[in-house]
Amino acid sequence: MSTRETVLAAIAAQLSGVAGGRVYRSRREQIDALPAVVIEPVSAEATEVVLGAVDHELTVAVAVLANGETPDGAADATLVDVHAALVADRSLGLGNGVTLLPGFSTDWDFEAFDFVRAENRYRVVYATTGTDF
Amino acid sequence: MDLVADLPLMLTDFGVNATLSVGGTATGVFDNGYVDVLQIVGSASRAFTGSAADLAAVTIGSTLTIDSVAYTVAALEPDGTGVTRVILK
Repeated sequence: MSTRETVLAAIAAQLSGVAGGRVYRSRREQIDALPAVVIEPVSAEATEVVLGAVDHELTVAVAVLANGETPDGAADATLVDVHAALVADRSLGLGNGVTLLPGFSTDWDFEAFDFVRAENRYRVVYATTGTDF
Repeated sequence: MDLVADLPLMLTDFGVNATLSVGGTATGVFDNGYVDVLQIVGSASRAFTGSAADLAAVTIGSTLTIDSVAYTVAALEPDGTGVTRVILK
């Protein structure tokens, strides 16, 4: 298993207590209860090679799906919970070699009057050696 | 075919009654179908289509009660022929 997959699994584990446990990875099946959290890899880049070590930067979208009269407001509490859970341990439980960077961006996608996908994009850096990524 | 003249006949066959929060009632065709939202969330796409005259007082944010369920008016779509489609949520 790649370190990338380990990082994604660690993010899911760290968020397992959020949104009543409705936390999914790359979910494509229907979701029948909101709010829910969907974790998706966005992009990955190997940025540097030094003495056989490769530095990686993985961008991960953590999306909160919610609905309410003010949709972004309805997603806010869960988004706060997501962020608090992630920054509580920026190593994601994987030790010093993995770091969730402090900066992040947020986008909102509104639909059908009351629904929103509020998405935080985080960057995680880590290093690998050999054929791992 | 005169749509406005034929509308009462169509509503007699296919219409349901709605109670308007702005006062009065209207008869119209209630569509209550499934729709995917945000690609993976199941929801309903609801609309009430009836006579523009009957629905003239309806405003955004008012409610239509159909079969004891109150729906909020999200949009009004008059088609210019005497028929109005009320988008509900």
